[in-house]
This record gives sequence, structure tokens and C-alpha cells, in this order.
Amino acid sequence: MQLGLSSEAAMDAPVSELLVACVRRGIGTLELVLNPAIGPDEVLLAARMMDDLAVRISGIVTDACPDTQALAVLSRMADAPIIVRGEYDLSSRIACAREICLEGGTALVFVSGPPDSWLDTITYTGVEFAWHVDETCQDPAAAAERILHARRIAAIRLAGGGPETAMQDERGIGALMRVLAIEGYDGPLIMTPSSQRYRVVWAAWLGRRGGWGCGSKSDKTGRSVPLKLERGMSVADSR
Amino acid sequence: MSQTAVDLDVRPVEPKDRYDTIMNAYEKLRAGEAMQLTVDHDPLCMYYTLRATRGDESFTFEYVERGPETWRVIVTRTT
Amino acid sequence: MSTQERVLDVRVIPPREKHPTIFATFNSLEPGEAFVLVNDHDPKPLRFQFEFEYTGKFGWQYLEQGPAIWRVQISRIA
Repeated sequence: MQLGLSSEAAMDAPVSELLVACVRRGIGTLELVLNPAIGPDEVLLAARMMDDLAVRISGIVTDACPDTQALAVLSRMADAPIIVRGEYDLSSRIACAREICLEGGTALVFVSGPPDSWLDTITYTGVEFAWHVDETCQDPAAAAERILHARRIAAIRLAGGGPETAMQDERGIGALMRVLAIEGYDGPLIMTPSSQRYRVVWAAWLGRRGGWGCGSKSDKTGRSVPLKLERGMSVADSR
Repeated sequence: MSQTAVDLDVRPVEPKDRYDTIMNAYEKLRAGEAMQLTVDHDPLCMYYTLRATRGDESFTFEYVERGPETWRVIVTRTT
Repeated sequence: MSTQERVLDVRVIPPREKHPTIFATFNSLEPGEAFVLVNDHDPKPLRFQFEFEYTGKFGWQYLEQGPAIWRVQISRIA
């Protein structure tokens, strides 16, 4: 098991600062969430920067699935799976993940909530998945045991951890970690804020200096990139 | 009756800095002085640490509060 | 399964669950098995607790000692 960090922990931070935070905190893996500040070029830049660091990309989260071929290319070039999230139903997410795989990439289907609502479908279709554990999961240890008896878990996202750790003793996280250890879970465990209202404490925990975000001298190196990947878009390869 | 010289609440301190914070405060105590330690978990491991590193004759460790959320211990340095 | 490393990263475990989880994980092992504890500081107080409560029944081997993380292989001997 390897502890990781999601870029959602500091959504307007450039990837270089996220990497510095990972190195400082001994966090071995970084999840990048595609958004206006992080597009394909930023993902590939991060992958290049990681060559000299002991940090890897655990996954690339997308909340849209407009161009599976471009996502497949990105996945191959970054050597990381696309995590298919978004506000659409499980079968649509599964279809997207499958197309990405057919196009030569790797993909995981984002799942959350009670295993009853998704485990059978996932097992039946045979797709790999990223399990998101948040407060709606009342007994994550029991859920983990149930899931692991059915399928291998490729990635786990934990809503919390980091600076929220001390506030989370009602959620059974210790018991979950024991199950994952004993069962030999060997994937990433990605910490992500349980709510963006905690962004200030996350920024402090990540060692922010001078402030990121509204009303502060934030680093403006992030540029706008289209969220929608267009077919034929060149993904700059300047290795 | 020992006097409580220090009131040390390590709850806001990051876990990785707590050991040094507690041991530094302990080192500053004179014989007969005590510190009240407030923690968010049972500080039994600190009892064992003091016992192993200072010897069980050199301190007393008295629980004043035992959870479920807060633990308070009076650590008195006897030597 | 025996070739897979059992890793317990305690950095995400709330303070009052941390040591109970570590000892529960240890007690889940069979003799001869081990897990790797990962933390952001040297778990010396934990080691003292093992020495008092599990004297002679555990192995403790540092795999990594900072600067950012410590990894300790804790094995169950008996």
C-alpha cells in the first residue's frame, strides 16, 4: 500500500508545488484531477518532473469522457490509469473505461457508496475500479473485507487523512487500515479533502507559503486549458 | 504534593513533533516538579518511554482523565 | 499471499486509534509473519510499548529511517 495525495488537496496549486509537498511529506504517489488548471500538458509535465523524484502518478481523474482516444494516449504517456468519475451513472462510467482500455490506455471506474450499489455490476463486467471511501461508508473495514473477497481493488481514495486525520475518529479508519494491511492491499491510498471548506488547513499542511487561492498572492503559472479534449489535439511530447 | 510547573497540551502539535515536545518539557522539570500532559489518545507509550529511558524510580505517572476523547496525566519528576 | 507485503501506514489513522490498530494488526499475524509500519517519525515510544507488553515475542527491524518517513518491519515471533 502506498500513501498518496490528490491534487484536489490544493486545486489551484501548480503541479510542481504538489510534488514538493509530496516529497516533503514522504508521500510516494500523486493523483491528478483534470480541471481548468490541470490539463494533459500539466499531467505530462508532472510525469517528466517525477523522473528525478520518488513520486509517481497514481491516476488521472476525469469528470468527463468526451474523447476516449485522447484519454488513452494520455494514460499511456503518463503511465497511469484514467479514473473515470463524473456525475453520470455507473454503466456510462464503465463504458467509458472500457473504451479507454480498448484504445490502449488503462482506466479505473470510480465507485463510492455502499458496495451493494456497485459491487455486483463491477464484478460481472470485470472492470478495474477505484474505491472512494467517505463518510457515507459507515463501516469501511467490513466493506473492504466484502469487496476484497470479490475483487482486487486497484486504487482507494480516502476522503480525509492529512490534516483532517485528528478529526476523524468516528469513521472506523483504523479498522479499515488493519484490514488492508492484513489482506496485503498493494495499491495506492489517495488522500483527498472531504470538503473544499477544509482547503485552508490542507494548504497549511502542504506547506503553502504566502497563500494560494482567492485574495492572496497565488502562483499564477497555471493556465487555462480546455477541459474537453478534442480529437487530434497534440499532446506535446518534449521529452 | 508536587507542584504542576507546566501545562502541556500536545493536541495541536503534529504527531511527529509530539515526542520531542514532551521529552523537552520533561527535561526542564526539576525534582519534585510536575507537568500536566493533555493528549487525544492514551499516553501509555510515553509511560513506557519514560520508564525505559529514565527508569521507573525517577517519575510518577498519574491519570487524571482517561478519555474517551481526552487523556490528562500528571507526570511528576522525582529525581 | 505470504509474498505480499502487509503495509500499515499509520499517518491517516486518528490518534486514539493508532496504537490499538497497530496492536490489532500485530495480533492478526500468525507466528513468523510480519507487517511493515509506515510513519512520519521514528516510532520509538511504540517500540518501548512492544518491549514491555510483548517481551521476546516480536521482531523490530528498521527498513527506512527518515528523513520524511520511517518504515519498520514488525514481526510476530511467537
